[in-house]
This record gives sequence, structure tokens and C-alpha cells, in this order.
Amino acid sequence: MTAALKSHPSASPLAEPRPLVIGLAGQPNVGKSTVFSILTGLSQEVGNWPGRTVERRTGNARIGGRMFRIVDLPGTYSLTSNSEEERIARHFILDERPDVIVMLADATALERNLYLLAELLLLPIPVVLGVNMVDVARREGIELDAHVLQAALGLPVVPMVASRNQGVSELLAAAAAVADGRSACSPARPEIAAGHREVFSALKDAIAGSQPPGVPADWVALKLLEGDRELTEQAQCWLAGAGWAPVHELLRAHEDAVLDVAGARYEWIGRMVRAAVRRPRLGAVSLTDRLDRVATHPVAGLALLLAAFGAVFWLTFTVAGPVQEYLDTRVIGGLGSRLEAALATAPGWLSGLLVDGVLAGTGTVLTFVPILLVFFLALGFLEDTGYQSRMAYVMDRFMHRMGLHGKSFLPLFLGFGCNVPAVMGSRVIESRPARLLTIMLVPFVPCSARLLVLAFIVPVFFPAHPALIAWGLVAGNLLVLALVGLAMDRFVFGRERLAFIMEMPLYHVPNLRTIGIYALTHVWMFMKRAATVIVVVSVVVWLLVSFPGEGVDDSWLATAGRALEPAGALLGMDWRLIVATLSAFTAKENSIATLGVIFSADEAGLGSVLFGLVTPASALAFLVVNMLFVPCVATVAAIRQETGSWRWTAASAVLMLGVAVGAGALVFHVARLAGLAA
Amino acid sequence: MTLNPFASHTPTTPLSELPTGSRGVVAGVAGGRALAGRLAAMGLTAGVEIQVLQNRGRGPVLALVRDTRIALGRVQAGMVVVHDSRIEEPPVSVAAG
Repeated sequence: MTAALKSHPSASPLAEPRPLVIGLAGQPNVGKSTVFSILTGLSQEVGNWPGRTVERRTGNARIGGRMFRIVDLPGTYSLTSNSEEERIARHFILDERPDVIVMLADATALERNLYLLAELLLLPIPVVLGVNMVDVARREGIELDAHVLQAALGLPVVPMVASRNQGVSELLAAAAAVADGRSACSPARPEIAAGHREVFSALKDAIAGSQPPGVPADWVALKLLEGDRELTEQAQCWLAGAGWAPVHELLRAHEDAVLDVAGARYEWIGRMVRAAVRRPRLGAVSLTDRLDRVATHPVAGLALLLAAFGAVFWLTFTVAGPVQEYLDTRVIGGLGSRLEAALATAPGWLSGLLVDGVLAGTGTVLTFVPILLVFFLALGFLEDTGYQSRMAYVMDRFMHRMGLHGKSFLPLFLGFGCNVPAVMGSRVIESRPARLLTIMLVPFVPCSARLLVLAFIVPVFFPAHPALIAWGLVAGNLLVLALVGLAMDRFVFGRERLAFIMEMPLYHVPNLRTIGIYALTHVWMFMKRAATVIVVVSVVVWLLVSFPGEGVDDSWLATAGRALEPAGALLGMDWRLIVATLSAFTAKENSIATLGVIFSADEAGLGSVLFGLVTPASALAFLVVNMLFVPCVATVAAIRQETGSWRWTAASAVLMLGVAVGAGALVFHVARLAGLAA
Repeated sequence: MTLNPFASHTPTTPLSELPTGSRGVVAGVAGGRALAGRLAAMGLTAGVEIQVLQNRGRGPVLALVRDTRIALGRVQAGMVVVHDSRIEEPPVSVAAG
């Protein structure tokens, strides 16, 4: 509420009429992304809200020769400053002033949905209401008369079935009509309960005139009564000094007003829908409740969840795996050898830079695409059907022991496949501290590339019990994850964010278009933002490996490895193992390739060479360090993108490094005591 | 209506102690304005009818209120206080203030 009112749009003498700006608002799970993707298709741009880490999606639509610019507001239940999303939504409305707000509501829970409408109507922008999922509501025995609701509310109401593209263009037409003044929008507004009417008008008088232009005094007074933290701070500035004291007194005397304000809104909603909604069938057990008997059952629900994840991983390895392999060997490999041939006469460093630096980095980005696409398609499917929240519900009890709640389970589990979508998947967690904690924990989940290294090294050194040792290492890894989670929860974040409150939406038939667009935009976003970081880092690592000498053992990286040998001695690692660990930064499976280069052995012979030169204790320490060490560059890039902060990114790297060295040293010394150092 | 739901006249029980399948009328939400505000926005306010869909004695509680299924962590479910009376009576109006 800092920006002043913008100049009136109609004053601009443009030949082509300026596109109508529409803010798309709604509570979570009302089908907002479906409507948004129907309207904007692939024209949507995904970015972040300025200075925030919440996604901002905008897109264009042209309907009936008219341009619309649609801004998708974060899904929020209300407009009080409890969460970042709610602050973003109301700042957008007050600062950027869209021409119209289109609010979507879910017909199956209309009363709760209209709570947001009651809040929106206090702001000075006209509202059009789309009531979505009227088909589902009908199946649940709820009949809606849109005309009656429209008459009661005093604003356009459009019934819709967005998943079948019904009512979407009518909704936009209604929005345009309101923006042009062709359609009336003089809504009924909820009033404050009688008991607080006096204090409300006293507050309003105390504030009037001091707030920035365009911010209604009614709204400020009401939000103050609700105990809105952000507005309380702002009002303190507006009223600087003497003006604040009486307001503060009034608020202190009416601390209970928050319940009344909410109660009055529902009472108003009740009056609005009384004549418009009929529900003759009461008490019928819905399909959702029947499905939930399985999906939320502690045992059956857990089995279903494991099956769902099994399917996701199966899809990844049977579909994405081969495509990734093909891209890596045929496309990138083929390009590499052609580029090498073309540069045969050029200096060696140029060919090395382009092939082993730039192209290899581009290859890393490209080979992530199939995995990310499959993961996000699966994730979009789980979210769109409504099953995702059941997973969180079933896992909540277990996650609590780690200081997390159910919603953190999904990203952490995805980490076993690949840490990158896991970090990006942490978006499902709405509170920032919980999201940060989850992002910090994701790199502790051993991804498939790290499991690959494990699968290669363990049988070499522990031929008697490879599976046992491998399982032990993975279990130890997860134990470290739990301990770090507990410690960070306790000492970094405090315990307040543990509040687990989640709506469990009705099950839906998934909309393939919504899921496809969801997956494509997320993959594209990763490519756009992470590509530069990955290519640059790949070039830097190539430089460190190739200069000043010819081979890896004469490189800057080797020099660094030798310099780190005193520290490595703690872990029983000589410079070669250190270099292999460092080189794993571009991709975790690189450590094997690097070992192959240093020990000049091919993959088949590497095992026996290693066995002769490295003790089992050192090998164990090497594995522990490699599983816990700084995540790969793609994960770091994803962490940077999701936290929006280099400090948290650095904190994650330092944390991983510290834990890796500590755990590695511990394992090495225990193993030595156990006689594994010979 | 006061901020302290325990001060109401009829005996109350925390939601976390109601068995699966039981119904009741919400008396209030303890634990501060932030929690009360968040739950209110999701439809859970004083005076509304609530039905326990699942409560297994540990882990989260699943409740139905205003056609909305809300999963609440055990701690949060303990903050929601429900009137004891199982007699069918009209929901208490809050707006009367």
C-alpha cells in the first residue's frame, strides 16, 4: 500500500486499446490453474513476485478481438497478512490496480469460498465471480441458482465447469462488461457486527486521511481490528507519534474483535446464499469420503502412497532414463565428436573449452529435461486429482518426529530420484520457514546418481556383504537427515511453523491440459534460470581440471586436492579421492569417471586398481563424504532459484560440507578401529 | 464471544478428543489470533457445525466444516474447542456480538 494511485488508464491516447488487466483470485483448489491455462495457453510467463519467492504467472488472452492481460494471484483463503501469498495478493490489488478482479469459487464449498469475496469487496476494484465445478456440486446434491446469487451479491456471477471449458469465455466477457461500465457492479458488502460498530467508526475517523491515497479507510480499520500485523505496523507509521496512541488504546480494548469480524462475514455469506443454493440431499456419503477411507487409512493409505511413488519412479526409469541416455550419448556425444572434428586445426584449448566445458555443461542441462518432465507430469497429476494432500495427511505423523509436517514428505521422497525436482517441489509448502527447512534437507536425500556411485564402489571393497553395507550407508544417510532436521528445527527456525492445517479437496478427474502446461512451464523455468549457472560452473571445472598441465593429476584441481590432503588425512582420503569428490560437483556420477582418469583405468578395471590402493576404511569414508558432500551444481542452482537467496544457498553448501566431513571422519575412525584400515 | 473459549457456559471438549463420526458445534479456537484467523478463513469459526471424519487417537485429525475437509495437526486439533451437548440445537449465532 505504498504506491500512490496510478493515473487513470483511459487518459492514455493509444490507438490500440490497452489490454484489460485482470487479477485472477481465488482460494486454493478451486481450479484456478485450469482456468488460467485455458485463457493463456503457453503464452504464460512464470516469474517471481518482486522481491519474493512466490511464483507470479501472467499471460495474455485475445477473445472477441479484445486483449486481456491476466495475472494469476496466489491462491489464498483470506487477505489478512498471515502468509506471504496473502500479502502479495492484496499488494497487487492495491498497488497495481487491475481493471477487474475475477474471483473463482468452488461450488461444492461455496460459503467458505465467499469468505475471500467478502474481503475483496472492501477493496476499490470491481469483482466478477465465477462459480466453478457446478457439475461436481450437482453430483454432491448441491443446486446453485446463479441468477439469484447475482441479484443478492449485486455483481456478475457466472456458473462454470472449467475442466470442460464451460463458462470460461462468458466469465471473461462479464469481466470486460464490468470494466467498460456496461454492466453494473454495486455489490452488497458485509457489515461489522453490532457489538463492534462503534469502535469501528471511531477507528475509521482516527485513520481517515492519513493512509495513502487509494487505500480505503474502512478496510484499514477492519484489518486493524483483525490484528493484521503488517497493517498495524504501517498504520503506526502513517499516524506517526500522537495519532497512534488512541488507536492503539481502542485496539487493545477490543482484542476479541477478530472472531466477530469473521463471524459477521459468514453471517453475511449465509444471507447471500440462502435463496441461491438448495441442497435437498443431506447426509449422503460422497465419493471423496469413500475413497478417503482407503487413502487416509494409516496402513492402507501408506501402501497406496508407496505404490504411487513406485509408479512415479518406474515411469522415470523406464521412460525418462532411456531418453536421457540417448540425449547424453547420441545427441551431446555426437555433437561433441563433430565439434572436435571441425576444430581439429584449432588450438587444443579451444576445442577442450567448447567440447568439455560449454557443450558438456549444456548437456547436463539438457539431460535433466526428461527426468524433470516426467517428475512434474507425475506431480501435476497427483496435485490435480487431489491425492497429493492425502499423501501429506498420511505422512504427517512420521514427519512430525523430524520437526516437519506432512507437506514436506513429497519433496523429500522425490529426492531419491533427483534432488532438482525435489527442491522445486518444495513449493507445495506454504510457510517459508518450513519450505526453507525442507530445501535445506533435500540434498541429504541420496539421489539416484549417488546411489549409482554407491552401487559401483561397495561391491569392490565389501564383496561379502555388499547389500548390507549399501543399506547401512543409505540408512545412516537418512539418520543424518533426521538429525539435521531436528537440530535445524530446534535451533534455526523455532517450532512455530509446525502448525499443520490443510484443506483436503474433493477428488477430481485430472485435466490433462492443466497438467501438461504445469509440467512444461516448470521445466522451462528450470532451463531458463539454471542453465547459465550450470554451463558457467562446468566451464570453470573444466579449466581447473585441464590447466596448467596436461593430465588431471597435474591440474589446478589436483593442486587443490594435494593442498587439502592434511584435512583429507582425517578422513583417510588421499588427494586422488579428494579430487574425485571435488569433481563430482558438476554431476555426482562424475566421481567414478574422475577416479578412472586419475588411476588411468577403464570402468571395468577400476575396481581392482582401487582395491589395491585404497583401504576399505578410506573407501567407506569416501562414500559417506560423497553422499553428503555439497550437492551437484544443478541442485545448487535449483536451491538458489527456490530460496531466492545466495545466503541460504551458501548456508546449504556449508552445512553439507560440515556434515560430510564430520560424518566421514567418524566413519573412517570407527572403521579403522574395526580393523578395516589394512 | 470472548477470546477464551473455555469461559463459555456449557462444558467443552477439544476436537482432538472427539471420536470419529461425532458431530458438534465449535465453541472457539484457542492458541492465538493467527491460528483463529487462519481457521476462520477456511470456514472453521465459533458456532459452526463440525463433524469428525477421522481421529485415530494419534496423528492428524480430519474434520468436515462448511463442506470443507480440513486436516489439522494433533496440536492444532487440541486448540479447537467443541461444545459438549449432543442435543440438536440451532447453531449459536456469533454475529450478535
